[in-house]
Amino acid sequence: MDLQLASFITAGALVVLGLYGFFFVDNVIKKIIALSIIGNGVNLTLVAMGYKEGGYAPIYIPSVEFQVFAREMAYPLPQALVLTNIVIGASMLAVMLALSIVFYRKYKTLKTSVILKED
Amino acid sequence: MDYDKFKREMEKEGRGDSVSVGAGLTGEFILYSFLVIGLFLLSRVFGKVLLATVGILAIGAGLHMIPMVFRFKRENSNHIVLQLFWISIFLGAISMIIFIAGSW
Amino acid sequence: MNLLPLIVVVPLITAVVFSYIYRSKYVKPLTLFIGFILLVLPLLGTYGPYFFGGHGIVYIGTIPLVSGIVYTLNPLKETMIFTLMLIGSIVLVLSTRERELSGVFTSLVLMGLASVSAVILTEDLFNLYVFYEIAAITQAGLVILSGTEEAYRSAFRYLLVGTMAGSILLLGVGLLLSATGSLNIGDMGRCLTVNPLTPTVYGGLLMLIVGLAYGGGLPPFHTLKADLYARAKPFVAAILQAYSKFILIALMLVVLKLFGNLPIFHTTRGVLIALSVFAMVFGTVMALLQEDYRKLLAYHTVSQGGYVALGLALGTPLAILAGIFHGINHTLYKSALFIGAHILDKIKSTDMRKVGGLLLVTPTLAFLILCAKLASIGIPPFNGFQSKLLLAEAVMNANMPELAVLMLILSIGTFLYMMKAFYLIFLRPCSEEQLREFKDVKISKYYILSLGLLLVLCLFLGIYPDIVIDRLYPVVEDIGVKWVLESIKNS
Repeated sequence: MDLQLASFITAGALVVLGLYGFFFVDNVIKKIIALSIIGNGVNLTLVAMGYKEGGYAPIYIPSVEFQVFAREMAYPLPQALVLTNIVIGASMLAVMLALSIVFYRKYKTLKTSVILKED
Repeated sequence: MDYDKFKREMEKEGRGDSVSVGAGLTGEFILYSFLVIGLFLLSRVFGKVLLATVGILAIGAGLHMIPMVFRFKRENSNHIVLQLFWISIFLGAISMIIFIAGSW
Repeated sequence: MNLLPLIVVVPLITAVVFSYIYRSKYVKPLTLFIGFILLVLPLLGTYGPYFFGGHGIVYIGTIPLVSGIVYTLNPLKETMIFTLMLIGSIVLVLSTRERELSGVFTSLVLMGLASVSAVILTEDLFNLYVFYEIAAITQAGLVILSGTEEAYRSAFRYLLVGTMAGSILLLGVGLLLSATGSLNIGDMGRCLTVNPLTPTVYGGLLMLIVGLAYGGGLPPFHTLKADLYARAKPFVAAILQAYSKFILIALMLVVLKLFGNLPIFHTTRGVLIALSVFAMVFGTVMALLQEDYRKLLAYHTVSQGGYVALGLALGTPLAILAGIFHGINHTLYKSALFIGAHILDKIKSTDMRKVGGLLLVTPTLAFLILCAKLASIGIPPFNGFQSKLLLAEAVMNANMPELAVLMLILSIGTFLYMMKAFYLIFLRPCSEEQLREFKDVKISKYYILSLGLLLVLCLFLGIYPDIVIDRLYPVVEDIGVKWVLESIKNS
């Protein structure tokens, strides 16, 4: 099977799975895990977009002629995007986990419907 | 909508003073007129009989559920379950509209 | 030399510095100093594009394509950034009067200012996404700083949903990148008009709208936003609402630039108009039901966000102008109202059942708040009147008179709850000892002065709206969707 297509299908499955977990699972930690699964699905989509079968890594190699290199190179932009997104995702995750620790100490439970009830 | 009935409903929530009741009643009328004006707009812009029928049904349902404003307030609460429910409905509805109506 | 990037870079670097020196005794004077620096920043740039890394424009064949990240400045963006920086500087100056001030607060406000001005300035979709996420996390941080349990909860809610919405927005950016091969908004728009539409483009559009609804506080995310404004300290809410209003305007302009000339925009326009009308109605009805002054103002912000979005969603040049002008006006008078709420919070409480008779205690404050309320309802000679009139005119021109009727009905609702709040806070009779208790509280002159400054601006814009309108119109005319006008003319 085509590697790119397989990656897209996996990414779609991850996003759908993550959305399911985010909407329907009550546990806070599981919700946060679901969010990071969505994030990983999105990252995988981006990486798969720039994939090129048998392409060069987008680092310039002096021994290869420039025209050939430009044609055969994998698309570098999505990789830069993914790198940035991983950083943002990690910081978001850290803040959310810290907050859920605070809530666990206060309520002694991880149920979202209890922690974030109407007030 | 009867003022006294509405006042009794408000008193159940402990907000029976006349200023709050008046504000609540205005909210009720605004919601209702929003339904009516929305119906006008939709049936004029799209000119579809089906749409107008659905709109009249919505207004009828609104009349049946009067006073709407208390239900409306409950749905707009910040309970996470309700919020996520409406967000998921929104995601579903918007993708239906863009993909189905867009590909016509 | 074009110093445009400094608008983003200066607040960003000072934010980092402040987060290191947050316990230093120099935080207060430095905060005051940076507050005045902010006002100079919008004047630094020159109009036109700024190419990062000096890449510039690359020609492929005869087609010009932008390489790298571009920021552009035009009179529209300059006005928006100036308003943003003004509110930011007022909030920073006021924050020095707070007892428990730390550098963290200054740092977060500056971070937010940098990210929102980058969202306004950038022409690069991914850059926009990055700063959009930073703005989201900053807003949550500013709410957490107020320290109450409710604040923690609402910030947690905001972050949970925000991570989901942000991921979806990024997926949309990725899909559009794969459909066009570029991240520059202008290039993408041109590419989308010449190529046939694919489901990928539909997906990208859909996900951009989800991100826009979250960032701007349109339904169904309005409960999150209203919570956020109501739980933060009121003078912090002033800057929070400025952030989300300008993010809303910037993202709406992006949607217009990308999809404005496509056949799909017909449906999109309907969706956006529906969302903004929902925001208007939901905000007004929920505000009518509130007992707490802060929550009332929070829902009022949601409903005014609906007005702004309605103007931009209609797509005619006049409507876009009215929407943006209303956004700027709303930011000004709503900041004044929130600062008023902060003074109220200092005196006793923002719960309208617990206060009363304040007219006898602080007549100046009562007068200033009444003026801000009149501006927010849309009564001449204040600026709210000008932009609402312009918006009603634009709605009539766009062939949707029903929406103008709805706007009038909602104005009545707005009038009612604003006057209800004024009566309960300032006019309702209360006992002697309560009045004496209120009189003991000292109100800092800074608050009254900043309220006065904002109201003078409101009055000025209400009498001479042309100052802003003339600057905005040439820019807006380019963005306006051509075929909307034609289809209106034909019908």
